[in-house]
Formats: sequence, structure tokens, C-alpha cells
Amino acid sequence: MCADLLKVTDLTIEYAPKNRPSKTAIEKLSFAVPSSGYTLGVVGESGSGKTTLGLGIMDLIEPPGRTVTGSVEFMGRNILSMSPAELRRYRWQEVSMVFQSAMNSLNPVKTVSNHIAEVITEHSDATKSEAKEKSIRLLSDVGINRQRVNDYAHEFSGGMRQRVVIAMALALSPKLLIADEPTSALDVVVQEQILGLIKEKVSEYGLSLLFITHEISILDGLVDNVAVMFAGEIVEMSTIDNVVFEPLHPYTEMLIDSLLTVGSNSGKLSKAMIPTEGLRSPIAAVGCKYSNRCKYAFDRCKNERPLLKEAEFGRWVACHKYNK
Amino acid sequence: MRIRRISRSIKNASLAAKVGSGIVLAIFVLVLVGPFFIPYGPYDTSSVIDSPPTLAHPFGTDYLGHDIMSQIAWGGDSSLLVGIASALGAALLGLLVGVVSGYYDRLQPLLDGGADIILTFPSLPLLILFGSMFPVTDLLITGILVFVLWPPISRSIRAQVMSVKSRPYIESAKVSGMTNREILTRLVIPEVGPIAIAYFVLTVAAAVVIVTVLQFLGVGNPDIVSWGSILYWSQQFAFYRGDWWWILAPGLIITLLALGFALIGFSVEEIMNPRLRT
Amino acid sequence: MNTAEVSGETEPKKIPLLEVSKLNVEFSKQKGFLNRGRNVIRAVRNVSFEIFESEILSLVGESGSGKTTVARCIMALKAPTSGSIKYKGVDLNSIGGKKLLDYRRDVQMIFQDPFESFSPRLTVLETISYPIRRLAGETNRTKIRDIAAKLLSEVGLVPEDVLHKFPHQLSGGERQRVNIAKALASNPKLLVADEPVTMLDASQRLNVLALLMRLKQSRNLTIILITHDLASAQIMSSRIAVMYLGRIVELGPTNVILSEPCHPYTQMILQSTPRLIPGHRRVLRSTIAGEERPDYDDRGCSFRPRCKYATSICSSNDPILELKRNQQQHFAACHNPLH
Repeated sequence: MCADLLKVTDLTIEYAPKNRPSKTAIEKLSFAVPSSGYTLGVVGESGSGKTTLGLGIMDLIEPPGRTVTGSVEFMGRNILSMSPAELRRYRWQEVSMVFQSAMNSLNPVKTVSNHIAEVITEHSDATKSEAKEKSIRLLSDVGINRQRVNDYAHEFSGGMRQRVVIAMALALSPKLLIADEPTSALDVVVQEQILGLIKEKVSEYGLSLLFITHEISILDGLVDNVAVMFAGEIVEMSTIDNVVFEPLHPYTEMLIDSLLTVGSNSGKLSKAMIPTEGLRSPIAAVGCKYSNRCKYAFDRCKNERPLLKEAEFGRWVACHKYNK
Repeated sequence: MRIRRISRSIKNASLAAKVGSGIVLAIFVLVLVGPFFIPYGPYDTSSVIDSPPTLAHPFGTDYLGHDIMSQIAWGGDSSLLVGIASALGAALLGLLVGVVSGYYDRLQPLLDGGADIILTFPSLPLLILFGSMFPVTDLLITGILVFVLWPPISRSIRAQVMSVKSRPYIESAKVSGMTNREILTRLVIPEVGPIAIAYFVLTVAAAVVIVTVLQFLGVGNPDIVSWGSILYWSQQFAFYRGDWWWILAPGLIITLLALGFALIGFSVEEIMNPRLRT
Repeated sequence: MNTAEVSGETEPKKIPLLEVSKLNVEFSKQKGFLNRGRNVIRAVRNVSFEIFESEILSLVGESGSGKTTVARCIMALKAPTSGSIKYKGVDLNSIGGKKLLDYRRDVQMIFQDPFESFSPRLTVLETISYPIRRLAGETNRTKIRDIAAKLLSEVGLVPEDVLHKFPHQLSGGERQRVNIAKALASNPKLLVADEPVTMLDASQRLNVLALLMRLKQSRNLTIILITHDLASAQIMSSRIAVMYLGRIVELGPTNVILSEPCHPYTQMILQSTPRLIPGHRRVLRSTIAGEERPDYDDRGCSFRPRCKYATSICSSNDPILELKRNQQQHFAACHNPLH
């Protein structure tokens, strides 16, 4: 029986800036990516901790953030206790990441093929010429033709630059690709192309995918499974069909209810127009974090924090409604 | 209400600011109040010549028995006065020009060009030149220093104003009916003000150094006691008499002054910016 | 039979509240005495449309479409290179000073960025006081505070909680509501909402749009909604104008445009917008069309490089926005419209 590809157990990461109260970004978070080919979308709003999760899995948390407890096991080995040399092998070769800002952080004085070639030479034993050959192949694989491999980043459009970043992420054939909002800054048509490219490469290379976003609708056709995050915890996790069309957790229900998609909005606006009681209540400090805003909340919710449990087969929820 | 906000943040100011203020305050006290308490006058000679620092003469004495501490205390006001006045003048003028040229595009080429030309002037030779042509007064030196020191800050302010001008809240203010004058005084100047204040604080030290150098070179009257005049005389006599304290005292005072202002300068932004406060 | 039907008109001609005619805005790329002509960016090209009282018109387009520039011209924040904008028949170019203040009283804007559209140094009360003082003409401090409080309640905030706070102490949704309250301070007739919910969390967007709709109904507002999101346009507006590279390429009633678009660009963005249909997962396409190359050449259609229906006429003649389907008042700028 082989270990899960990625197993996160009780991960807690907090930020403690100087002169300010510390904030827990992720709290006792546990989930697993069981095998290769598994695609998971992580959905959360601002403050949900989703970006921290991505950084934590890559051990990229910098002060004032720090990992308080928990482990991140990649094929059985805990990332968080790796030496710098082992980490350098881990990053890019086993797990690689595509950020939103990456396309704007490309080095203006390096050609696009150099970006990829350097990833290869720094994280593996390939020679410079091997790396250059490989980078040209990778660029063509993501749709950038040979004539442009020696161009500079600023000569490309946003979508093309993101393709370069994806090529970098695929360079060493990792087993897991983490993408954090890679398409938020792109126009909707280019967005579909980039998502399509990611999907294509993920199945072609046999990768697993962890796709972090705040827009659940773009996950359509991209991932098989979805995890919903709220206030640093995973509150629901299942297949995308389950989560979107039959949400269990009240927060997920609220998210889906407020979705704006073309074609399905009759009555949504009128329902939303009924004035509600003032502002959003704050996140509860005791008990279930969502309890202050939850229309189903009862006594147990205010006192006891619900754990992520399998309510039905393949459906995980952290909610006392399903905890009988 | 605003004053209460500012005094609260002064209390919370960083260690650097407190240390810096302490140093500067100490020097000011020495210069302003010292003359009343120090038993010797700056021109009083005595029989205690070439004395290293002792309890009686904390900064030592020179080749004629002058108490150096007294000379520092008495001689400081011209340096400090000119330093502060010229830094203040340069900062204010630079702020004004920077804001106007940054906000009103039409005036930009003219004001920029002027600033550029002045930036190329070598300040010290200019001052020496003027010093040899006209009777050197504190006012003259202040005027020339202001003239020479305002361009750098105006460029910096102008760049900042242009960046602020493009922020959405400026457009929002226009749409709300705020007049240009209100936008400048309530929105733009508070944003760029701290830079001018920081520049002022740092420039005081530079101005004091320039004045001291002039006095050291003999511009003006070296027989009138000032920090530069001490160096004028000590440079000639201290070496072969072995009176190292004679050179150290003015140099150290000026260095400490510059350090003090620098430390304050670093903390000014923290006081002025609400976001960093809460 | 009334006179209108006899003469063949289906309804009496309405007078538009705002009329934009042949608007052109050019930005020069380089400033300098010797560099003229060549380096011009035509951000808005020959844009014309009308907006009638009590309607919501969406200006839909992606970055670079010119929609924000059009908004800024309407708000008199940018002077157009040519063309006119008439509010109640009066040309914006001809007014200044006091008349401009009158205009600002009637036409207000909701800004896109809930953080950058506030000065970090002013409290909410101070920020809202300006339009109340300058546009609504109120000088009494207590009255100003009362008006501010009423406006904040109207947008769903609790005044006591919010008035004394600085922008960074509020959440994005709260700041955007303050933005709306500020825009309403002068009792405007026309609101230009520039991507009002784009920078908000997903769960907040519907609430803020619903708020806008409630306000529109209670105050009889006319709204120009600027957005890149077709779903927001669909839920809010009765008409949509689709913009591409500075031009309006399609204009018409919302449901018609979204169900039977005439212009290939509209079709393209519709197909790429995720719909989340039960039991029907979309198939992502990794290659769709040619790389966008902003065409500053006036010849031919600027969408031609990406259009799969392009023919030879598309390279030589710039299509003009014209009526394609009379019954629905549906206009498109295309030589080979889809319907």
C-alpha cells in the first residue's frame, strides 16, 4: 500500500507581524491528495487561508509567518523537516507552483528560454545545452513557437507569459502542480486557453493538480474535486458536482447561492434584494467559526468546533448538522 | 483631535527617534543654555594651555588656554541657526515647487528646467566665490544655501505628487466637487509632506557641515568664535602641539548632530502615516 | 388606432438622458516636441450611444476595450479628442466652473477599487462630507453628519460603527458600500458604476449588485454599469453595449445579445464564460484564436486577426455599428454577423 502523494496533517500556520496581534491563517488543516492524476480545486474568499496553504505545502512561508504545528508529507517524507538541499530537489522536481503574479515577475533581462533552462540546471544535473534543448521543447509544448524562444518577457502578452511560467513549472516533470490564481488577471478568453492548457498538460504528464482560486466557476471542466475553505479550515470536500449542485456545508450553500453565472439568474437578484440584517457578523472565536452567520446554527455549534468528517461516502463536511 | 493623534504617536515612536531626539536636544541645550552656565567665556585666555579634557575643562583647552567647551557652546548658534534656516527654506521652497510642477502639468517644463540648471551648480565653490565678493553674513550664506539645496527635494516631491495624482482617490475627490486647492492641501500635501520633513531633518546636518567648512576655510571672520573657526585654528596649531581634543571636539559635535537628525528623519514617516499607526 | 401607429412608429421617440456621439479619445505614447502623430493610442474610436432615464445600460468589455476611458469622459475627468457628450441636451465641452458643479451633482461615479478610491488619511465621515458640502451645499456640521448617517444606513451600514473609521479599518464590501453612499450624497440622476464588484469577494458581489438595484428603484436612478463580467451585465441591465479595442461592436437588449449574439467577439466571450450547468461539465479549449494584436491601423475590422468568420471585406473596410435586427433594436459592427 503506497503512501498518499501529498498528505497534510493538522497544519497550523500563523502570521505574527511586529506590534500587531497574531493571526492564524490556517488552523489544524488536514487533507490528502491520494494519487497521481487527482485534481483538486481549493476555493476560498480573501482571508480563508488558501494562499497560505499553497505556500505552506511548498515550505515557502517566510517570517512574520510561521508554521506552528503539523506536517506536510510528500510520498511519506515530511517537507517541513527537510534540509535545504532536499528542499531544492523537492521544489520544481516533485512539486512546482504557478502563482498569479508569476507572469509579472519574470526577469526582464532573461530570455524566456533562459528562465526555463535555469530552472533545469539549478534543480537537476542536466548540462546547459541539454537544458536549452529541453526548454525549447517545453515552450513549444505550451504553444510558444521556436521563433520566439529568445524573446524577452515584456515582448509577450499576459497569456503568453503565463504559458512561460507553466513551462517552467513542468520543466522537471513534477508529480504535483500547485496553481494559485494563475488566470485572475487575464481576459476571459485567454483565461479559458490557459485553463485548457493546464488541464491538457496535467493529463498528458500524469500530474496531480491543486488549483487554488476564489472563483469556483472557473473550476468547471478543470478539476474533479473541490475543497471549500473558510477562516483557515476546510469546511467541505467532495467531487465538483456534489459541492456545486448539492452543497452540504451552509457556507458552501451561501457561496453557491451568490454565484453569478450567465443564464441561470432568474430570481437571484430579487431574492438578494430583500434587505438583510446589517453587516456580516464576525468569525466566531469559540465553536464553529461560521456559526455567527449560519442560519442553521444551534447550541452545539457555538461551543464545539466541528471536525472534517466523512458524512456520506466521498463527501467530507465540517458541520454539526451531519455529525449525529 | 489631530494634535492628540500626533502626540500619541510621538509617545509610541521608535527607539531610534527617541535616541536621535535626545542627542539633538542635548546639543541644543548646550548651545542655547550652556553660555549661561559655563564659567569661562569663549575669548577668555588662561594659563591652562594645551590641556586635555579634565573636570575643569571637559573638552580641554587650546594653545592660548581658551576653554573649548565654552567655544563650542558660544560658537554653535551661528552654525545651528544657518543650518536650520537654510534647510527649512530649501524644504519649503522645494515642497512648493515640487507640488506645483507635479500637479499642474503646464508649468512642469519651466520649473523642471530651472531645477535642473541649479542642480548642476557646484555649491561650495559658489559659496566661496560669493564669500570673497560680498560681506559674508549669516543671511547671505542662508540665502545661497536655500538656492542650492531646494532642487533635489523638488524633484523627489514632484515624482511623488505625480504618483499620488494618478491614484483613484484623487479622481474621486474631483468628482465629489473638491476644489484643486482642497485636494492639494488635504490630500496631496499630507501625502508628500513627510518626505519634505524628512529632507529638512537630513538637510540641517548637511547645511551645518557646509557652514562649518566655510568658516574653516576662512570665509567670514575667523576671529569670531564658531565651530568652523575652532577648526580653522586647530588645523594650524593642534597637530604639532599634540592637542587632539582640539580637533575632536567640533568634529564630534557635528557628527553627533548629523547622527541625531538622521535618526529622527527615519522615524518621521511613521508619525505622519495613519496606516502605520494603528 | 392612435397617431403613432398610423405613422408607422411603434413608440414615441424618447429623449435620451445622456447622448454620446462619435467619441474619440487618443493618448500620445511619448511626450515631446518632435514626436507627434505616429505614436498615438486610440483608446476610444467613434463611440456613440444613448442612455434613457431609468434604464441600466452595461458597457461590457475587457481590459483595453476603452470602457473605462468612456466612463472618465462621461465624468468629465478626461477631455475627449473629438466627439461630444450631451447631458439633457447640453454639451459637456461647453460647460465649466459652476455649471460643471451642477453636472457633478447630477452625474456621479462609483469607483472600482474599494481601497485606492479613498484617501487613507480621511475618516469615512470626512470623505463623505466633501460631496455633501460641495455638491449638496450643506454647511452645518451637525446636518452634514446626519445626512452622512442616513446615506450609510441606506447602503446597509450602521453609521455609528463606520463614520469615525479609516478606510483600512473596513472590509472591502464595507468600503464599496461607503463608495456608493458617497456617490448618492448629491442625489444624482445618473450613476456611472465602474466595475463596482470586480474587486470584491464572490459572496459579496450579488449583495452589492442587489443594493444597487434597490437604490435604482427607490431613487429612480439611471445607471451605466461598466463591467467585464457578462453575468453581472445580464442580471442588472436591460441593454448591453459590447466594446472591443475602443469600439462598440454590438449594442442591444440584454437577453437578445446573450442568447443570439451578432458579433463574433460577443460569441467568443460568451463561449469562454463558465456556466456551471448541472450534469454538463465544460470542455476547456487550449487554443481558440489568434493572439491579440491591437490594431492601430484604420483599415479593416480590428477583430479580424481573431475572427474565424473573416472574409476579404473585413481586411479592407472598417465595419460601422448599424442596425442588424430591427424589431429588437439590435446593432452590430460586422460584415458577417451571426444573425
